[in-house]
Amino acid sequence: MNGYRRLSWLLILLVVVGALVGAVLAEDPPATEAERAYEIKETMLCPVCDGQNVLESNAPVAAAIRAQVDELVDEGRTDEEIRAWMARQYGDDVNANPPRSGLGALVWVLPVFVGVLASALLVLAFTRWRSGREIKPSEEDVQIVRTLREKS
Amino acid sequence: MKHRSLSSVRIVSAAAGIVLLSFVLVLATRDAGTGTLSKNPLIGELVPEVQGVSFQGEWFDIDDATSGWVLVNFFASWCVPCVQEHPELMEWNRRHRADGVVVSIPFGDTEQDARTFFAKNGGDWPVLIDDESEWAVAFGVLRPPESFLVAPGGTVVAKWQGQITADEVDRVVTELDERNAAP
Repeated sequence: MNGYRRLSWLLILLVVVGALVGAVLAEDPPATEAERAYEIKETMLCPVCDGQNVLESNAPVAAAIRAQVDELVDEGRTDEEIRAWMARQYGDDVNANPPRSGLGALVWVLPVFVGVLASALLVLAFTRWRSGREIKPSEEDVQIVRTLREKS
Repeated sequence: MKHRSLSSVRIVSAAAGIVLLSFVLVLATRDAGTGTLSKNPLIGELVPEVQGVSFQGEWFDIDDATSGWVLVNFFASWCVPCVQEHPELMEWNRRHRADGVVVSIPFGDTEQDARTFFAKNGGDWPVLIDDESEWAVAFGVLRPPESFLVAPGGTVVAKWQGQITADEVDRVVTELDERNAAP
């Protein structure tokens, strides 16, 4: 019975991890060049605004970046080339998605690390909680109860 | 037990302190991007390609102008500092008729408004329209006015964010002239 339960938990874990990995990896490529340009602009921050992407911002620099992204996409430049060019001109912060290498990779790694650590702590806490419920009464406790029963 | 919780509090406080200190250090060492002379990845690089037909109807290519000094100025007719610095550009242009040229590029502005601006405020140097914002991005312009000084030979030697004066630009020109003249 215990073996079945463990197997069920393992299966649930596999399904959850599989779904998460699938969701991360299964990025549908943009259907058209216009869609590709839109996606780049959506994840590119206006360098003089507070947290606004260049699609939403009315700042002249955002308009300039939008126009240049369209131009570079038309020229057949890859997303990576466009992002690298904009980062060179306006700094790494222009890309809303932090880089997957160097210090910026911490942004991707830390949440996973914290998630795993939190899960481990939860498992530890539940295990302690369960084992705490199974504490057997001491001889002294039994003696007290026995005495009380005899008196009643 | 009390001793253990006290040491935990100390560890957590120390960790929080380190994180806060790191934030302060990161924010304090970031380039604020304001002031007069600013950092820019273009400094020390060859000037990006700028060419087209000016408001005067003449073909202009920045490569043909780099035998002397070139002051590239991004401006907008709606920008108050741009209006205020315009006489300074005229003064610098007057001083350097023999060895330099100002090039103005409207940024975040319409061609019509830029033409009206020049008709009203004067200035006979080339004004070029950056249709696809290619030059603005190539120079990394954030907000007008921004000016770039290109030394003879075509290397960008200085960038100013905000309003400039002819004297400030000439201070850099003189400094570089003296450095180049030194044995």
